[in-house]
Amino acid sequence: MTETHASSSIRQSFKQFLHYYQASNLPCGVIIAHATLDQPSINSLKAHLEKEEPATAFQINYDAQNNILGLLLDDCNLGYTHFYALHVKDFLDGEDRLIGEMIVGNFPENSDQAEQMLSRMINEMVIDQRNQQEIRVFDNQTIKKTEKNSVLIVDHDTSIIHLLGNYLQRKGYIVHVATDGKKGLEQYKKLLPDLVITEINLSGIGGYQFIHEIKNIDKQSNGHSEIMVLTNKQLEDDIKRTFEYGVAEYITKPFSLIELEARIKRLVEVME
Amino acid sequence: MRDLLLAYGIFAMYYVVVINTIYFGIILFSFRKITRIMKETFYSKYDFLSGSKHMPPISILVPAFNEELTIKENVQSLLALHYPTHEVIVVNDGSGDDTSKVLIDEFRLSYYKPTPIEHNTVATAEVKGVYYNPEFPNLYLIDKENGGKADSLNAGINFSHYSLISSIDADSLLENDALIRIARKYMENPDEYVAIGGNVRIANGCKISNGMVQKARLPRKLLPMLQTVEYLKAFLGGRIGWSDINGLIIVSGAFGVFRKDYVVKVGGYRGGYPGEDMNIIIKLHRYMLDNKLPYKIDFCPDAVCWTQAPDTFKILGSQRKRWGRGNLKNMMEEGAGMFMRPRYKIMGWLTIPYNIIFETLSPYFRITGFLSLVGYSLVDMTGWKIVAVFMLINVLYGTLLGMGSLLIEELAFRRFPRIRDYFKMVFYTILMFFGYRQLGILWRFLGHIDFMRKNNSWGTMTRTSWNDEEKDEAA
Repeated sequence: MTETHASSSIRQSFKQFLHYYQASNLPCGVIIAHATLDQPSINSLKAHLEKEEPATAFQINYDAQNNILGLLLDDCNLGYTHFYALHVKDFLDGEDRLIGEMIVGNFPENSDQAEQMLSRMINEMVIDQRNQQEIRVFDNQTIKKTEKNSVLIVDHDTSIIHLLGNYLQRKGYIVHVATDGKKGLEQYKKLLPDLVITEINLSGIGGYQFIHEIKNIDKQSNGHSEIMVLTNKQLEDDIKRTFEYGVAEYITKPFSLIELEARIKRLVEVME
Repeated sequence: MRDLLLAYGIFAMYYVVVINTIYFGIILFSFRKITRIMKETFYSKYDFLSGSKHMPPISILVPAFNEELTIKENVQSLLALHYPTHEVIVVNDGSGDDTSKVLIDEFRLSYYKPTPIEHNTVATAEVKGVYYNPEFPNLYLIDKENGGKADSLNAGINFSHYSLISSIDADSLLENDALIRIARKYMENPDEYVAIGGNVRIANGCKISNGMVQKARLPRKLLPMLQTVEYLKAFLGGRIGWSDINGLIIVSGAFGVFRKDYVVKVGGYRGGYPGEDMNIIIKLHRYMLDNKLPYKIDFCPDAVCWTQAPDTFKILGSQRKRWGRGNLKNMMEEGAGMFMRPRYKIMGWLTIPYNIIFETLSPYFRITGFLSLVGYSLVDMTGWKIVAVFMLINVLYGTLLGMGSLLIEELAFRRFPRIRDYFKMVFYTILMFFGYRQLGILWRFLGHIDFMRKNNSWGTMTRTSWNDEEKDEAA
């Protein structure tokens, strides 16, 4: 599973609550906004919200490092969370504090893993910083998949993609594919899969650069994906270099599906 | 006087017929060879070879002069070539624009002092520095004083770490497997191959993204389209055949692989004049034959490099004049010494004479022949039939040769798979004889005049970014 380390203060402060909601199966709403705030403005936001929606209890936290405002709403559904977010947006717009988008999510409507949902929402905001100042509902599709392991296969050879994709799908993995390095990177940013299986001979950007960029994204978002290289390259230098980049496995073509699956299992299931 | 005009005109016509007949013979050799090439390439596993330990490392040399628009994408696609071990050496030839800066920023390169010149190297203009980033261990940028394309290639040779070098134009795009295809050819006989050329195709009109041709399409503009069929004829009809008899006189500067040791032995690339790509091949032939070493210079039509063709008369004209000038210089400097000399075998008996008589001198025969026929027709209107018949033969023969080359393309490669593309190519193959060929001959003649006047500028060549082209396509 995509493990996220709690570096954002929002994650830290909401962790206990989310844990509680999940354990007792109570609904809750999460709103995050890309905004610049200071202590007085947070206080006035609190006052504003208490005045507008006095019936709702909420937690507030501001991550100054990433400029993210987080709100946790007690006992509400997704519709109400979205409605509530409009109040927040009104306030932020009025003060001209909003610098990017807002994402709303709800447990259990968007995900049955409350903590992970928050991590993913923050990841999305940190990685692709969109400039439209709009409210967006967290895409629950990506989260639901976390019950299974997701794999991104990047290879220029479509027959490999088909073979491996079908095989892993039958074995219960969620499979995403890309045929070149650029597309692979776009997919990665969107999905943050548990495992990436990549060729080194890629087009657009080369395999090394691709792996390097993935590691950079992981660092920024505190995420972690295992990388497995499945390549035609048989040179010792390549093997050495890829391991230096932090790759977990190196398999050369032609390969055995049984062996590959065994190695995949070792990589992604140990982490649960 | 009248008879004299007619006689000379007929002589010129026969001259054209002889050219075409020799070309016809060459095409026959091309057909003989293409069947072998097809068998070889269809059953080779290039994906597998691209990771093999047994493929020789190659240094790719990219001379760059004012290429800030395209250099980043090109380097990225060169780094991503499917090949076991290769390094990319960009040589910035004292560009006036931001060629260096673009690369330094993109790849976060840092400056290193140039290493002192060792022995076994070629003299070049001063190298100011080398840029490198350990994160991209197979990319180097050499920054040097301006000295021309040949000089840049020499600087790249001096710096390169591997024993095979590949020269590539900064404005062309290699297909992912181009290098491995040439290397496979080379490994058939590493002792004897001294140079292998790749196939150059026109990228105008193609869909390009990520530094790669995604969809091959024919150009929509007139001039690039004419050049497309012209290149097909020259490369597939001509060079395959010439290489079959080991009489290849040129490996295109846009993409070729060379043995570094021999290139250094013949003194590296010759600067000062255009046509250094032909010059190096003639020198290699000469060196190997002088020393009685077994060798082969080959052409690998399945290794493809895409290049931007000029699309205005002005730029195309300056390119062709440059070629004419370079060709004349090469023939005077190198060709004359090999002309009809038995020790130079095919080169001495066929390639060089063919090039001198039917390429270099062709403008003079053709232009004077044409004028005398026109003169004769003016004096005696009844003679027009002879003139017309000869002209018709000329066009038909030329068309036949063009069709032969197209047939090779369709048999072995089919890069433009749509039926209408095929008919478009046929149409332009014929159209080529009405104006375009004549213009080419005129440009060559003007190039000779430039040579005589010692006008030695490179002329204009403007580049457009590959991305712009992509946008145009989308629009």
